[in-house]
Amino acid sequence: MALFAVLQTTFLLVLLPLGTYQRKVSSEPLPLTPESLKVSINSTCQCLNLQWSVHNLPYHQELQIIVQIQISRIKTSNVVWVGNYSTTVKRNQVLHWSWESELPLECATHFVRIRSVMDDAKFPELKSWSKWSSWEEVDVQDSLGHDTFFLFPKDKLVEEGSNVTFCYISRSNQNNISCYLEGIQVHVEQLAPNVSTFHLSRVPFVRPKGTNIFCDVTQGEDPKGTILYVSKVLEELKDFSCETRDLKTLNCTWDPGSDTALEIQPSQSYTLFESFSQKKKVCKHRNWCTWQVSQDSQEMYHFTLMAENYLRKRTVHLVFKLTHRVRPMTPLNFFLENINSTNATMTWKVHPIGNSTFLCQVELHHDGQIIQNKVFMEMNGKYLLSEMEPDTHYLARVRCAYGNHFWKWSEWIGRKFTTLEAAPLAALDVWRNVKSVPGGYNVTLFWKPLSKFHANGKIRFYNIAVENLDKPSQFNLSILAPSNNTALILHKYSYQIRVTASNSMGTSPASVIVISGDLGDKDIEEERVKGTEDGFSLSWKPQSGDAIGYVVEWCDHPQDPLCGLQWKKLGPNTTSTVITSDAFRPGVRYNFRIYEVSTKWIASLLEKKTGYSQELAPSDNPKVAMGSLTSHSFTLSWKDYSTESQPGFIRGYYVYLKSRMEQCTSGFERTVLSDAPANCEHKIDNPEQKTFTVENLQPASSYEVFVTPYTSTSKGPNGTFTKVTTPDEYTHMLIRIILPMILCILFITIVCYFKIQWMKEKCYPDIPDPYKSSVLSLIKSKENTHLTIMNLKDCIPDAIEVVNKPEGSKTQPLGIGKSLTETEFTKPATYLYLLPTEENPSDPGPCVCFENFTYNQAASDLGSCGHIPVPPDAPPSQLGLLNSPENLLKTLEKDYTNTLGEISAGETSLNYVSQLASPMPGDKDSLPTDPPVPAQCSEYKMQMAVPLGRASSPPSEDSSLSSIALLDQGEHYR
Amino acid sequence: MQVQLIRRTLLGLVLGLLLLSTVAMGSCSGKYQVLLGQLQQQAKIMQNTDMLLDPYIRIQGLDKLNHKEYCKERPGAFPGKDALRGLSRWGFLQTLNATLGLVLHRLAAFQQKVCNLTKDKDQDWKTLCQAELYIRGIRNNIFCLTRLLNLNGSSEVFAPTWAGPRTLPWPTPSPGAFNRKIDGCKFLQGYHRFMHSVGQVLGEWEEGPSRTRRHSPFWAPQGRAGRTRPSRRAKRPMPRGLLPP
Repeated sequence: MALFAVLQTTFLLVLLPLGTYQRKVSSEPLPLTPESLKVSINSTCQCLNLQWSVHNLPYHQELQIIVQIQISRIKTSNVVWVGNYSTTVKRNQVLHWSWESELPLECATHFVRIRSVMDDAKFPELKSWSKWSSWEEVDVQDSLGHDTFFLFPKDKLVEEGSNVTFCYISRSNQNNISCYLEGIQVHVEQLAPNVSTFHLSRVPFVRPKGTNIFCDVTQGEDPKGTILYVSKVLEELKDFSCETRDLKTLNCTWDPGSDTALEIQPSQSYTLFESFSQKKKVCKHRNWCTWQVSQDSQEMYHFTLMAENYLRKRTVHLVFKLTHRVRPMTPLNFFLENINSTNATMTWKVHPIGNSTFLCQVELHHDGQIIQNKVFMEMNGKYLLSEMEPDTHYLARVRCAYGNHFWKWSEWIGRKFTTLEAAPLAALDVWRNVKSVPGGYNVTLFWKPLSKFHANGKIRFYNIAVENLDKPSQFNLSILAPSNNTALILHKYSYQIRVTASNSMGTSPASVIVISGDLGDKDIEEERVKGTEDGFSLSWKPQSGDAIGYVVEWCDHPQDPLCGLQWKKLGPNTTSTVITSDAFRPGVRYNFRIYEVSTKWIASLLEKKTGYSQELAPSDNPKVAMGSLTSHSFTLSWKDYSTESQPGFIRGYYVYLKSRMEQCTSGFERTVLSDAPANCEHKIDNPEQKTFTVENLQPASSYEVFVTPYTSTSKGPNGTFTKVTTPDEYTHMLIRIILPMILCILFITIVCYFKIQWMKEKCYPDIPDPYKSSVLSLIKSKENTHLTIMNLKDCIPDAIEVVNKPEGSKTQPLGIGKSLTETEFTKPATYLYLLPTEENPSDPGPCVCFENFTYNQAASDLGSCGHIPVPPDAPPSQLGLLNSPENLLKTLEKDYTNTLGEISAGETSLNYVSQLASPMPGDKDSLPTDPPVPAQCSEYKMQMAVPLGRASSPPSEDSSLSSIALLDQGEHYR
Repeated sequence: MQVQLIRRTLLGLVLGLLLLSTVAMGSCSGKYQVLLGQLQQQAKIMQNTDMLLDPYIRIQGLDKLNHKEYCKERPGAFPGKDALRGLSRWGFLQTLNATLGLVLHRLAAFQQKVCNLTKDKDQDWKTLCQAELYIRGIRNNIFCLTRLLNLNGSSEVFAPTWAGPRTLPWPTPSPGAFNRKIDGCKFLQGYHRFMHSVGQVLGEWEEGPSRTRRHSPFWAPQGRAGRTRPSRRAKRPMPRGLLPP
């Protein structure tokens, strides 16, 4: 055999050179030259399928060759791909190879040629490339049909993220073809005269119905398009697991990931393959599959799960021992028995798996939390739940696992239940509010509801037993829950009050409180405390050594009428505590009272504290009143300002003063108030000082002043300044002088006013009005209608009798009812002289008697009026006839009324009586010694009697003029 | 969107009640006016593009195209109003039944596979899947009305439809999926227009069942006397120009 091999080799070595020589000489084709190259197109995958054979292999044995392939597009010189393909070949064997084109093959002519070379070290002489095959052309455009527009590839299926090249062939000469991807125009490049391409990179999944790609070719016609089906990438299989519940059936599950279904691709399929048994099962569901356990006691299983779609496959493996993958079924027949206030018994059953034991876990839940957890080997399916709280909701549950080898717990099975109630555990926390009223006091009892732990059930009512310690008596009250307070009206005795809470199972221990007959209200000074966000830190000094505890009392809402009374009870050894409450608010003053509870359960007030959890700036500014304004000072007062109602302790006040002066007055400092120009500031540190005098001011200057309080936090709000103007410095002085003067003048004026009558009578007494004379009434009574009073205007005086009236005489008009006898004539009138009427007023002429019956009846009775013409310079003694008071009185004693009645109109003709009242110096009773001087202190008044015939006639102008002329003539007597 | 949803829900409720009223009775109503009124109402509802065309366009992604321009009824695809008026009542009902059968077929093909995967999540798919039930409801009413008319002497009654398993083949993809999308759009556009015409013609049927049409009696000329049980394979007059399934 070895000899034969040696001979064969020798023969070949001889023949090969010979053969080579022969080929060179005869130019025969090389033995590896590909022949019969055929190229076809697979449009679906855009593949060029090559098929060729190598006929001239020199040997019959299989040889390793390398085939080089060249692919050109549109023309042979445009090589788009060159590659080698290594394979084994035997003589006359037909070889296949495929190439996937990026560009759809329908859009361009492709050319393919190949050559090969021996890739075997045993034949080094064949280590040179064969000749190229001839170019093989592939062109399918002619077979497309008669349409004018083609878009490729048609309905291609790719994976998400792929790159895809589209091309279209337009046989019409349309140049304005636009192509769109889901309505968005894409950039198109021309590949050949009638071929254009566009490229899409990393295409996304859009919808199962595919991505629309279309081109508008001709206006008004349907678009030409294609669908690109983009499949989601088939994901790796996750969480592949198998288990059994009964050692008969395996249930395998996995996470299927995204569904890759498209219109042209179904959802990925899942296949389960077991290696040991070589069994295979196509799964119907996307994420689970069952596998029947073989009856031949197969212990080990090796599963391969394969997911597959048109584009990809995914596999995952799992090897396990069957008994290590046992998960028992959920326990059954779960019950809770013998439930009382603290205990219960739970029972259940487990589905048996052969003779295996089970591990079980019991859990007890309350309010979503595990409060008991127990794992044990299940023996009889029973467990005692203990140490539970009365009247409490629980959840008890159990699960089990395979005892031989733990794999997984079964599902839980459980039930909710509620334990029974029990008597309340603890005494109520009770406090009281005592208000003294006439004859007793009002006691309001407050208590805090028992916690759920202490209540042991639903509290139905509260019992209150009130025992009079002074006069043995007792009464009971029952208050329905959930009330937490009650009011009692008690006499002024000492009472012991016991409060208990009851539920359906019993009563709580009593809470005792004693109300003393003597409230012992003490005047305790209130101490300030500073609160923080954490509360109020309070401390106190024990008063007596036998306190059994302390109580701190306060109101959560001190501004509310109900106040929200709160309290905190503390032990006997406690002398400090921190009071916290969610109700504490900044700016609210809280008052704390600390009570000491004696051994007799009597609470007595120990200390008072007050404070703010957080002090704030004052909420308002005081209303300032201005006073004591002088040229150099004024006083501010805000006594009505309440410091108690502020959101912080008022520490004092700032007084701000604005003036035109550059320098502040003494006591003030220059400062800057927010949002205001510079001010002068004075700080008052005493909150109780509510007046302030601003001094050292400039007279007649204008100032603005503003007062604001401050707390430890800040000042009060900005407010408006009050304007003050100081008065002039001399004004004050002037007032001191002028005011008394004015008062004096005023006094004098008043005095004068009251003395004016006297002055009047003294200086210018009234002339009696004849119209008001009582004589008139007498005349009327006698119905003498012919008598009337003469009007001066109607008179033509012939002469004027001037009567000199001495000073001090008092002339009073004769009023009605006042007799002439009552008329006081301290001095008789003096006739100065009688004026002639017309001819020569300066010459004393014949006397014309003027008669005034009212005044001088007696005189007229003397005949010819009794007047004696006298020269102007005649002495007063010549006038003695009428000047004597006695004569006058005698005259007056006559019945002048009769006289009047007896005077006829004809008899009297024209009578004037002129009277001059002239105050004369000297004694009223003495006659004047000097002749009358008419011009001095005389007043002229006239009373006239008018003739009857002329009385009714209107006064003539002449008469008036005459009268005026007379007066003018006599004016020098005035 | 909210309004549209409410509108669809109300439409669904109305159609569902109409369908249920037929199905729940188990047998047809013997009242002509009731059946006619239901058909009229169903036709009115079905002419609304919210029922089929709009969800179809959104599902196919054609809303990105200028679908109002492309999605026009292909002429001759469905009988026009005049053609329907020219039919006898029997012919009209049979044409309507056949047309709805065609729509059901197209709808089933469209919904196949993908419908089961996505319809639970997408409102448009739900609407399309419900529309199939509504069309079956119309066909049931057609059946009942035909049977009612047949009691007066007609010999042809076709079977009611029911929502059984679909066995129709998947449409051949030869025209290209994109063209099929466009074609489906045109088809549904025509369908809605067709239902509008149907509603108008039914509105002219206010008179009782005894009235005869101008050309022919309402019972079919090719009547098969004595046949009381409808045959599903009975030949139905195909509307002129209807597209093959």
